[in-house]
Amino acid sequence: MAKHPGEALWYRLSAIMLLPLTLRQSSIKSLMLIVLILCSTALACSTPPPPRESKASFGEVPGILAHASNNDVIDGIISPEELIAIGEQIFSASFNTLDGSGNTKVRLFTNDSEKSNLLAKFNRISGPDANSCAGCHNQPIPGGGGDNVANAFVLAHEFPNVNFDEGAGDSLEILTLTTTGNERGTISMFGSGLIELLAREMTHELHIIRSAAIEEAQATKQSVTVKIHAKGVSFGKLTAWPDGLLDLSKVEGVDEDLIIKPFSQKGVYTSLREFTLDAMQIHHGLQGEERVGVDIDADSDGVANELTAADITALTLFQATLPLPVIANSDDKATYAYAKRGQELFETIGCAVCHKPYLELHDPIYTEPNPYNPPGTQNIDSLPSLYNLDLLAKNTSTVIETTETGTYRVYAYTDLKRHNMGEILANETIEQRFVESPVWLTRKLWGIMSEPPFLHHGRATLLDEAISAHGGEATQSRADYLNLPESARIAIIEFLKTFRMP
Amino acid sequence: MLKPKYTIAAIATIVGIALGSIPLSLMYSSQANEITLLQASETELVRTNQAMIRQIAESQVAEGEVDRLEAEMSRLLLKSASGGGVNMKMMPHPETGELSVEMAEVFSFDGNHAFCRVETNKEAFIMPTYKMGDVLIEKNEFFMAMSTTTIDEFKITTGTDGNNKLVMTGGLDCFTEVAKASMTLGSREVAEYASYKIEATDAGFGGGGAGDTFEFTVYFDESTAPINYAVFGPEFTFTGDMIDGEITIPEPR
Repeated sequence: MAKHPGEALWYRLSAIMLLPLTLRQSSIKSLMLIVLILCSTALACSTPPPPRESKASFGEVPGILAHASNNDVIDGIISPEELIAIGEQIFSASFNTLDGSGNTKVRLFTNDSEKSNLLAKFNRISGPDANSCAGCHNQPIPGGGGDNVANAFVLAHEFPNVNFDEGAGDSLEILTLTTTGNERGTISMFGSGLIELLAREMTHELHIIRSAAIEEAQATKQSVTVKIHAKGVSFGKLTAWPDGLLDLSKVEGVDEDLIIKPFSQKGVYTSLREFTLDAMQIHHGLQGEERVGVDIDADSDGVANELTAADITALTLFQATLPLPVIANSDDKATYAYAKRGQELFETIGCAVCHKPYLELHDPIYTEPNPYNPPGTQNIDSLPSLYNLDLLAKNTSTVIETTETGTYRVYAYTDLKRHNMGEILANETIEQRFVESPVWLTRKLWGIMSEPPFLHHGRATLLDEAISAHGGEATQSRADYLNLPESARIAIIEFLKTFRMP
Repeated sequence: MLKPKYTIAAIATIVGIALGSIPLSLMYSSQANEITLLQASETELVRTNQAMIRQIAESQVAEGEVDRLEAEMSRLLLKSASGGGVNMKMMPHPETGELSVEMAEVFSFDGNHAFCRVETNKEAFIMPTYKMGDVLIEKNEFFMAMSTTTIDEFKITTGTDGNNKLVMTGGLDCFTEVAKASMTLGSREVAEYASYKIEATDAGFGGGGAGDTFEFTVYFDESTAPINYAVFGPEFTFTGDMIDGEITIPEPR
């Protein structure tokens, strides 16, 4: 018994060949019939199946293929992995008019010309200035830093549509490139979940010290001055008075609310969520419903609910779970030795005072939202924490060291504190959230070699140029660096070259 | 009697021992000196250490006293900081859309209070609101007043530009009213609570012309200040060109 139709045909053909000629004529008819049946069967098999109900969208579609549903998040229907996948899609999507992308401030300057209105949908200076998050955050993969071409002009969004013509788009002001906005490079988001967790823990420590000082002042009915510090980083002193007033005149490197804000180069954003909400509105013209309300088209572009709260959660979790940088020591003995010497020198000349090698993390569980989020960004009071992600569950990166006590040393090379960096880096003319021009958050050095150029505006194409531009609180370290013999400076550069993305 | 040869051997042994003990005794003597020196050093070290402990304790007391005096001084500085004036802001014209309609914000502050007030608008303007789109405000329809209820924190510093700065934070009551013929949005009698941060800069005598500034940033939470949140959003800085007034902030000590 043949098991296969082809096998049956072979048997049949063999039999026909062996038949006497008289019998062959009738067999030829049979053969032709069989061939016909086989051909029909083959044809039937090759015919496409009948059309099913289509799920495709015809015509142009939004860049965001699927929004995350708030109810799915609240009901726990959607898993963290699914939410992160949605976040990744939104992060890489090219937003368009159907998403609600476009200039949210068009209404502030009148020009009914079709040509002008079309041009105003995008403005490289005052925004919206990008169609995709990954348009700038892309080195070496989405989520990373950006080339100089991807620089943003921070705070220029306060002008409706900059054209340098002193017109309504310029708010009738005489603007120059440097007085319109602060040009800043795009820095990577790698490892940002851990950075946010470190900042939360530091904030918690500072708030405990503050509360204790207030309680002591009230109990003793005298002013109480205490040193404030978190994770080994000093933030100066504060004085609490029995009447509850706090004197923060000697507080350094952190805002008056004593909340460590680890995002943006000025250190003015508390959380990935807060940063994301602002970035989506400023760079893409997409408004989060947690800012403007559900079903409200606040920017009058015909699209409401441009980003659901769940979308923002998805984007936040995607960024929080981006890969960690690594410390990539060379296999070459001479290079390795150079880097080790450089590491020693890095500490000797004082770089490590601000670029603190590691901060110790107690709990790697990332919860969302951040309890310290400001008004306008959902916090733990308005949105219960629904996802608890262990950011180090599958860690293989060399930037993490587990201690005997079960804590984690996160080698990010920052103290998450703001410092005065001196005149050379004081180029900005507009203060961002009260942070003065020469003052910057200590740059995380992890991964730095994978995202050149360097400094806040990307003007340094070499690490040596970046170090040489340091001043202010780093004046002595800069001088010590420049006074080193060339081989020692090269050693420090070799050490910094170990900070990469995998 | 011992035989002479034994006597000689005994004497030789004694002499040998005596000779051999000379360097040993010299060594012991030397070590004894060292021990004495070490003991003296130890005594000195203990004494110095105790003196240092006393000095540290004294300096801690002194540091505490310095902290207390500095705190007193800082609070006095807060009491002597004050300012008032008018910030002029330009709002969009309802027909041209250009920022050409003047809106004067009157402000005042000292170590106990701060307020900012827009009594009315002399001309119609467009208010680009946070949640309600553009709202046409006709002449004399707009009123806004913010008055602090608490000052929780303050900070007096000299900025990197050399100007003295005062930062105050706390809570305030905000009254915003748009009184149109057909409806009234908000109220000038019922306040909404918000938190604030004030940054005032003293650039020397001469007010705004010299570089004085007054920025009143208010953080509206939608749950406690729904009207103001809808109008101004979660964070709004009330400021403008300081056309009148003076800000005085003493040098930090």
